[in-house]
Amino acid sequence: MKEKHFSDFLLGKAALLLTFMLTVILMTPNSFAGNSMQQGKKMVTGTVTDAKTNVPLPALTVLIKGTTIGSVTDLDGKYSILASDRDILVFSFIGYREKEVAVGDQSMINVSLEEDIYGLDEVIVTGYGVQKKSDLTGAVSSVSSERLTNLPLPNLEQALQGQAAGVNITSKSGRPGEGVTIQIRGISSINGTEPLVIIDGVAGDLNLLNPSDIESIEVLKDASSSAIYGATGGNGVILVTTKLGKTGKIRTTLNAYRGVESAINMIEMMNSQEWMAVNEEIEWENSRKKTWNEALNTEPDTLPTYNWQDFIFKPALMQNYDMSVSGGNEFSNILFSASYNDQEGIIRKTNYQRLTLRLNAEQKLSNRITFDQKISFVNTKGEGLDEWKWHHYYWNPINSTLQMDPSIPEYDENGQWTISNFSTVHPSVKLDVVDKVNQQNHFEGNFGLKINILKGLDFTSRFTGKLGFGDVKQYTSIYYASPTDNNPKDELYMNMDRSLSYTAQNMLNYQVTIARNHNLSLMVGMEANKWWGYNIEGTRLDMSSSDPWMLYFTKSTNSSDDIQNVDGTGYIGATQAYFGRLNYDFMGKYLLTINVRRDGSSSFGPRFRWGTFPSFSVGWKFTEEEFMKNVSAISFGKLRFGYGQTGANARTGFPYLSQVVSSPKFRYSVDNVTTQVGTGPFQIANTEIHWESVNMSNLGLDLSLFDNRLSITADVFDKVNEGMLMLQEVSRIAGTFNGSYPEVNVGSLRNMGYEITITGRKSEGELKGSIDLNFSGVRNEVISLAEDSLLRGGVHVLSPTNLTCIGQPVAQFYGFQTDGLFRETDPTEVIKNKTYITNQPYQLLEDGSKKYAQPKAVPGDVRIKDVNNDGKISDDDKVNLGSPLPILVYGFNINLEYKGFDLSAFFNGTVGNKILNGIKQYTYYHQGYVNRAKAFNDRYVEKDIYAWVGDTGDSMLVVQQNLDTDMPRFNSENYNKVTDFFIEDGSYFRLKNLVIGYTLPKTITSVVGIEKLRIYGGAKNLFTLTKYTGLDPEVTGITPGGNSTSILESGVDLGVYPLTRMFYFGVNIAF
Amino acid sequence: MKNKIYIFLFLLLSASLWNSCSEDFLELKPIAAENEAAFYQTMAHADQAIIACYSQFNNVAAWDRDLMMYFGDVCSDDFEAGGDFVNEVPQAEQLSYLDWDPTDGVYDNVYGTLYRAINFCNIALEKLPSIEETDPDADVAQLNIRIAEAKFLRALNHFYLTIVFGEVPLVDHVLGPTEYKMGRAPLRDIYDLIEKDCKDAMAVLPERGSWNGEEGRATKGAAKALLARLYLYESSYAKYYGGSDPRFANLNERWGDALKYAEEVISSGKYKLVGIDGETYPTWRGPETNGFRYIFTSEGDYSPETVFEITCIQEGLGYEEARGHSLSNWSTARYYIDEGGVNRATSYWGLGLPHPDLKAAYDDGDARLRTTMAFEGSGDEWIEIKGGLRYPISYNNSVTKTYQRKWESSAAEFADVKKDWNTAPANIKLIRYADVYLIAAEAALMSGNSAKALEYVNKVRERARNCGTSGQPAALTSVSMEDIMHERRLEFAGEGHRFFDIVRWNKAYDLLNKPTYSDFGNRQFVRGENEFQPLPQREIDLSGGALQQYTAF
Repeated sequence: MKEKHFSDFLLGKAALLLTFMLTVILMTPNSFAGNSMQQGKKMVTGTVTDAKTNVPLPALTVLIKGTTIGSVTDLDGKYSILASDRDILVFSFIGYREKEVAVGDQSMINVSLEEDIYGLDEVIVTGYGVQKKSDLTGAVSSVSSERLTNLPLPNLEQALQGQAAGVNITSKSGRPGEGVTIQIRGISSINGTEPLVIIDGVAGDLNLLNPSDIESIEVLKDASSSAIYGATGGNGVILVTTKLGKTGKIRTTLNAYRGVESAINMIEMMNSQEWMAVNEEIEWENSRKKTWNEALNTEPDTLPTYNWQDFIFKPALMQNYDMSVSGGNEFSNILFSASYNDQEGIIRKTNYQRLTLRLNAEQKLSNRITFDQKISFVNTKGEGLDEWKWHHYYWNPINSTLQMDPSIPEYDENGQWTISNFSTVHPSVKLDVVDKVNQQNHFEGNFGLKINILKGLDFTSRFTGKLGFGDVKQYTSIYYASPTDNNPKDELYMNMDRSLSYTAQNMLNYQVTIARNHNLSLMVGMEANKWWGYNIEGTRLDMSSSDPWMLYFTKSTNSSDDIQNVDGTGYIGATQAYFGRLNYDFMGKYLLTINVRRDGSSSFGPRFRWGTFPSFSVGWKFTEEEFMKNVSAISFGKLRFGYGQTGANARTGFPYLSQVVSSPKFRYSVDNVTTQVGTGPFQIANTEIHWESVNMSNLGLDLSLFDNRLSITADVFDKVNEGMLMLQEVSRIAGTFNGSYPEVNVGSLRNMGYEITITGRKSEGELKGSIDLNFSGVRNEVISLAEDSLLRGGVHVLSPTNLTCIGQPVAQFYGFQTDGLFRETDPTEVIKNKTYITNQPYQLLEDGSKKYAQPKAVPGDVRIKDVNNDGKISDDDKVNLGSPLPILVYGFNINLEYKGFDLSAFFNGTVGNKILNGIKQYTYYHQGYVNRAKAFNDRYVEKDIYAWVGDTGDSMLVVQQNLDTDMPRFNSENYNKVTDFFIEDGSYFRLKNLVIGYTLPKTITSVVGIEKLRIYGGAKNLFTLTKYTGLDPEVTGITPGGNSTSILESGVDLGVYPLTRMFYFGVNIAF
Repeated sequence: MKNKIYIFLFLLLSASLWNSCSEDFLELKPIAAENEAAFYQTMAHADQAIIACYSQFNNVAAWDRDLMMYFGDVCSDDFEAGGDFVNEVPQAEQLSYLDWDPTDGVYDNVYGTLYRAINFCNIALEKLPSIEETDPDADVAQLNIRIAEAKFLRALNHFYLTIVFGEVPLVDHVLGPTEYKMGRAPLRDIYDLIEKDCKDAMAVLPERGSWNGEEGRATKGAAKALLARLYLYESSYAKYYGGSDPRFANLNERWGDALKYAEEVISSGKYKLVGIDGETYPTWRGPETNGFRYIFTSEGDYSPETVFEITCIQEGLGYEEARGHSLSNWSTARYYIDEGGVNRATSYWGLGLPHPDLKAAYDDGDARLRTTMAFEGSGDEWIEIKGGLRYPISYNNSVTKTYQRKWESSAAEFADVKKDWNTAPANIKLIRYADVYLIAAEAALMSGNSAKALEYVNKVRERARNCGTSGQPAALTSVSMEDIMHERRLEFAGEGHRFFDIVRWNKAYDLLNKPTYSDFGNRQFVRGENEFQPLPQREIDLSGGALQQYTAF
């Protein structure tokens, strides 16, 4: 088996080698490249200028249509090119509308280009090709690089937030290096909504990109545009193109910024007096059951108050530096870039650093052959324990920080952790004693060869190889904080993983115009991917040194076998695809696109391995019609319709095979000495598992009004996912572990929605301004599931929180409705020495006695609605408490430029979503002596509570009676159930980013040889308007204790690492 | 020239197509797990398959906490829910007040763990027989023993399912996808399978002491004791619910069979009541540990007292991956008092607190009392916590002023492990020899042989007496059913027997339908509802109506 993997690897290498060899052969002077002076060719020259200003345009490309033969204008806008009479010259330049001129008998062609205000002639990257924006028939949003690089954000995902209609991006948390969740057009599958990310033609990871390297981003939203990605396109596709060197002189850019981050919000907690009052109240409550703790009888008035959030959350520095050197001539171009991003976490030891290096180059080997290489290296280094990320109830320092005894400082005078009589977890202990460093290295080489075989016929071959090296090292030192929190042996844990993958693509493109009006382009291609990887992890105790340099397993002084633990696993997989596309337009007016892709995956059994994914779309540029020519207000208009089928979530592994594993879960000792590892089933196989399919139709309208000053794009869509892969929950009698259920294709989800993008631009003299507004709404409905309903989610004891059932949107909050509080005025009766409140539902038992729905209720307890009127409170009384899915998601940008100044403000928000405020679960904690949120002071208190003061024999009032409130009294029954008490409005409006820059006049900077010098400053997350009372309304569904997000647990705020506000300052230099 | 282009083009195309288009490009095999079809071929595979069957004892929450502490003891009249303040552990309190909630995770956990074990046994029973053909070196006798172990474990897991949940689905083969919506099977059918499994197993399994050190494996004696226990339960249900309850239809009084198999264990000569002659043993508590206390220490593992044990070895591994027992942590004392007089939490839980009634039930000086519990004034006023020191217990934090101590471990035993809540090293003595005696006594009495019954009960009392110096408990001169019930209670308190016993005797209504000691919640035992725990709500939901609760929870 090993040889097999190796041979696959060799095959990949062979293909690479072959590509190189061919390149070398093709480059030899003897090759077919130089068949230049053909019959009928002549030298055509001319000048290209801006139509408005008559300024010559340098570095502009002139191409013979249908070929890669071309030239570039010089500094005076002059060009020369060999062409025949029948050739058509294509003049294109970024920001200008492309122009085509037939050569005919001319030998001097002067051209003036019009500025392309709306970007209709902008060329958009589509799957396996490019298309003019005006010719698009699918729903595609594009985000320009300027917009990304103007906002100093550490990663691309954050930069994309709110920039494209229908693309809903939510930060997972504020932890440095943290990713986001991306949903394109709603929740297409409950298995996840992560779109396919294609970087320079190959699947990749947005987080590993230097934002400054990006040329453009396109988001393929509907099936007709993403169907070319077939089985992997169902959640939408994000296409990223990195920058290439530009023809012209060598250009160097530098960008540097620094910022200071701090927590966006904090929870106001009780002071020591209020906290001690709660403890006295507990004492008083417990006196009915038992007594406790003399330690309470201190003098609460004298206690100091420390804000533990100040100890744990510290302002943190973010810095980013990137540079690039680029340039090119008509034969080759090159770009080198490097970036370094360093984010400190606002919680110590949660830092993240990223270094990226990139070399993009392209060579014209001949008039017909182009060879390109994109080589990148990324190193990331993250610090911090995983459990700090999410809600790990006992070790998450955020939780224990909030709950910490407020009367003591973080450390005592000896620098030791303070020990509280009331808290068992000291949040700083884990922060201080555990060091975890996660280093990831990624190498990627992307090589392409493009050959122009005949006029209009191109062949492209691309090979990409990736290598990943991951290393995790975690060291826990010896410490003693308290009898229950200590570690007598230090421990080193190491994990390394290796991954390797390659992708090979071959494509043929043919473009032709028949009878002048029929433009046809045809593409066929194939692609193959293979990936393979493994990891090894181990632990050793008793290290002889705690020096980070010395932390290797050889430094363990403990050699006994039973404390060494080595584990590891491996994975492999492959996919293969054939695809084709036909674009046809008649007179540039009527447009048609047909895609088809056939995908195969090693995850499925031989009978179900392949799936076919077709799509079509049509467009009508109605402004090209005669009858529209007179409507001057509308300068451009196009109607689009598309329908297609894509797939989603082909899972990795071999779910169609029954497998057995020897796992730690099967360990047992039969002799009390050694542990044997048994072998048992790994999963219940489903031999019939196959691709999910997503069917989608899309109707769109593009309008450009008032001289292109206002443009509108509107889309409506209907997206139905069928055969959604679900782990079918089966009865425990099937005899497997959680999660090893059979995976079946039974679920179905429907998303219907709309998206609108409005862009307005205006220039008045030197004042230029633009507004981009986008908003979208999706309605989600579950059509079928593997079972009636899925209950998921939880915050400690609040569980389950979300219900997914047929006929409703996914992940609806699910729990009890409340109906105010029981009051001291409620009637009561006494049975067997116990008092019951009688104005509540009850059941009549056989012996004629009443069984009350809330038998333990006393005044101040919450009344739970007996929705089904059966006289008791049970799960049947739980109802839908609201949806975590927003009705509306929006974002808008305002950009202003005046003289050298520029201002950009970006707002985003949601409307209509609910959040389950899980932070309330532990800041209104229903047990024990922990600290609580200040808001909890308003709880119901039955009567004044007095406590003894010291040894004086005096008593003092510590808790005042509080009957006039809606907040339930202190009792677990009131705070350990999912009720509407925890559900809050999650709508927000946020100034996500505000940046103001000033570009020094060229006349000044050019003196020192600088082409552009811009200084800027701004703020991220400057303000947020929301009614939500938790830390932040941007909440994703994060599995408790886990590190993954789950759609089925959407909208549950577990109290994650808070988002940060950052003030920054930076400089851009180009020379 | 042009030809040259095409040649190279062809080469390039064919190179990449050759690389990726061959039919087997997608025909991959898993690399870190084995295809089931290629496994179960050798004796080594058979060993691994059987270890997996045993491995389901590793779920310490299901076995130690839920089955033993919660269902067996906290629900019974022997224990109160622990915790330090009202509603600290709502789960334990709800169980204790018989306020059972089918959505409580304990049910799912126990149900899942036992059926998982049954599934692994079924896999072994289906796959192992063919190893005889596939492995030329297969030791057929050894292979048959492996198969017998699987049968014993399948019987044991089915048995515990029936005493917890009553009638449950009967799973006697590896289920296919269409069989997951199974209803309750009559107890008769389940008992028939358990009986057959036990009989098949006992015919093949070796006796205790013949396992060459692998004493944690099933034995002939274990299979017989389990079968005797089964007959005892069947006979009790038949006698005390006699036809009035359809759940126990077609069950018969088989006291004679219970007695027969219990006596076969006794007459095998392989077992001994530890300390019956007053022997003391060296343990972590000191060299003078009496026999009764010795049973529950790590030194008492695989002693002649135990018929079947769940092996617990200390390993600092993940939850459910290898077990130590957690019973000491569910019991013991939650707090100690530090030098400053302040209560300090230990990492113990104190979730089940022995009832003062139980304390009162012991004769003064019965050595079993202080092994079972520590109480105010008992002289057991200290606790050893991690770090090695002894600290005084604060009984103030116990409603009952008692703590369970039967399964206590020493701090030293925890010294080498990273965490100390599921890693106590003493094996769980799931079936004890004393149980065999008391099964025999009860069966003998019910069969009318009270002389034999008296002999067997006195045997157990004799051992208890000899473990102390007080002369208590004295030998009985005559024996009644009440005496046997009393003896079982004292002998097995804290070992997860009591609730199942009082249900089987139909005594639960009388013993439980009264206010609790702490007078916080009234216990209401509802006949027809509280004899058995509710089935997990998840199972009801997934069964499509095939499974029903006994009453609507």
